[in-house]
Amino acid sequence: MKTTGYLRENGDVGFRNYILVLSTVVCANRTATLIGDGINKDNIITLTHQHGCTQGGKDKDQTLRTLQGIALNPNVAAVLIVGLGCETITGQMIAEKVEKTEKPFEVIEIQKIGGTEKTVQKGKEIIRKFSSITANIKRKEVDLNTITVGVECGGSDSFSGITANPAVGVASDILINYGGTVILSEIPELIGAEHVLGRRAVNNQVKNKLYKLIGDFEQEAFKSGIDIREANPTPGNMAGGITTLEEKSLGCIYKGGTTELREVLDYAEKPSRKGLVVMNTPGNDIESLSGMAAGGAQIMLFTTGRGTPAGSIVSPTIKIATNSRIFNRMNDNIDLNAGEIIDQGISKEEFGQKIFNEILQVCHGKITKAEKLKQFDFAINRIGPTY
Amino acid sequence: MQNFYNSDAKGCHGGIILFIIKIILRVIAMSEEKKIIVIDEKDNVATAIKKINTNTKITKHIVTNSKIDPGFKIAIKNIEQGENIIKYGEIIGKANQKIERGDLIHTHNVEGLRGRGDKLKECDKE
Repeated sequence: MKTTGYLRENGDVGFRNYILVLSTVVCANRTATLIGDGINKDNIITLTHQHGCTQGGKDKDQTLRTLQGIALNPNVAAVLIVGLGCETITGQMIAEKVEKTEKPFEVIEIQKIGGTEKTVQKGKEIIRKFSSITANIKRKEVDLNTITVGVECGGSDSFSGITANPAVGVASDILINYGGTVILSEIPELIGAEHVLGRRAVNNQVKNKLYKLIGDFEQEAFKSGIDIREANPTPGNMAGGITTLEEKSLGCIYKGGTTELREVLDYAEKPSRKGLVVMNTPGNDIESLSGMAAGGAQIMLFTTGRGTPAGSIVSPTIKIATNSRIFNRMNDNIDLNAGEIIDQGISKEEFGQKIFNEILQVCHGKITKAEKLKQFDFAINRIGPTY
Repeated sequence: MQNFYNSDAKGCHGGIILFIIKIILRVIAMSEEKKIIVIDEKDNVATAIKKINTNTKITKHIVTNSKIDPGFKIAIKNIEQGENIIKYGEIIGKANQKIERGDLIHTHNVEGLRGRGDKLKECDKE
């Protein structure tokens, strides 16, 4: 079985030809936005964030790794890096990684060019040049082992673990069977379900790393003296019938399917192995999606019971409702309805196959609801203070 | 107005009987309709897949003791205080009071066991 995608110079496969305008620092956000929004083309995405300066140590490394990872994502055909000129994370630091992939890129700095207006003018010229390059890249048949899918659940309810998540798990198993990769994330939402995942670890090293990450998150709750239910499950989860974090977690891990766990990744780290991997992200949906996109996921599967408009910055996001009510109420946001598993008695295997077919269609170019709404959300998980 | 009522009543005898039959059929259908899902045979709770009113017979042995909204859990066994709550065949928490079969299961009678920084603090105080 095959799908189609864009073969990049370094052998990566993208399923979109996005041109990314990437702001390196909060101070450059407005200028980057004026460039990206100033050209009326569907494939231009502007990435802004509130970081990039006065950060240090592991936190700085994580922000840099995330920005580099998004620029490197195979769905990005060309990248314009917009910096200020005096920030901690410079455009050049991001460009160093992009350069190795032979992906078209340029770095411009507001201080060097001399103000917003001249930078915007220069930026638009570069984007037009990129557009003429990307217009000539044609789709080719590609193997399914080139696909990396990030699986996410947000606004979960009690049906998440009964309908949508188990069906996503079936789709994960099918993709991995074809040699593809699935990233499962949100470490706090593995608390109480680690033993189920841990016994599928490929070796003790992977198992211990998983247990340590989960343990570290639980320690945070101990340190702050809170019942973790203050933060997770969220009030919305509880209003949807979820009672404890353990219950949420056990429902969450179904998304990863049933295959062996091959690797445990840091936030925004690229998998070195195919198959099922876990990434260290928090339960915040956007931070989690952004970490997986920076790790190279080209497609996201996102299940929701309470409903959310969220989408990922450079990875088409397929939204799956856990119940028919929310699918009908928020139909402009949600692509598939796993509520059919209850309402129409469709098996989770059959619905999982339907999700898998949708992945292939979206790879091939079908536009998701989140893409249509330009829901290109982005947030970086911070692990240190701003100095 | 009088004419309206008369004509309506005359034409409606057959309709009323049909209507009553329909209601009876609907009630029979509803009582047989699946209202809950038990995910694993080890579970002591089930999930409501539609709104269930209080005092509704769900199975031979289970009658609801309160209204259960879709997605919410219901005890399918008597559960003692301190006993584990089992869903997906795994422990999802602990009963903080005696729970009767047919009771709503939620944050009011179940505590999570993980990430309990608050419990740790109480121990520290002692």
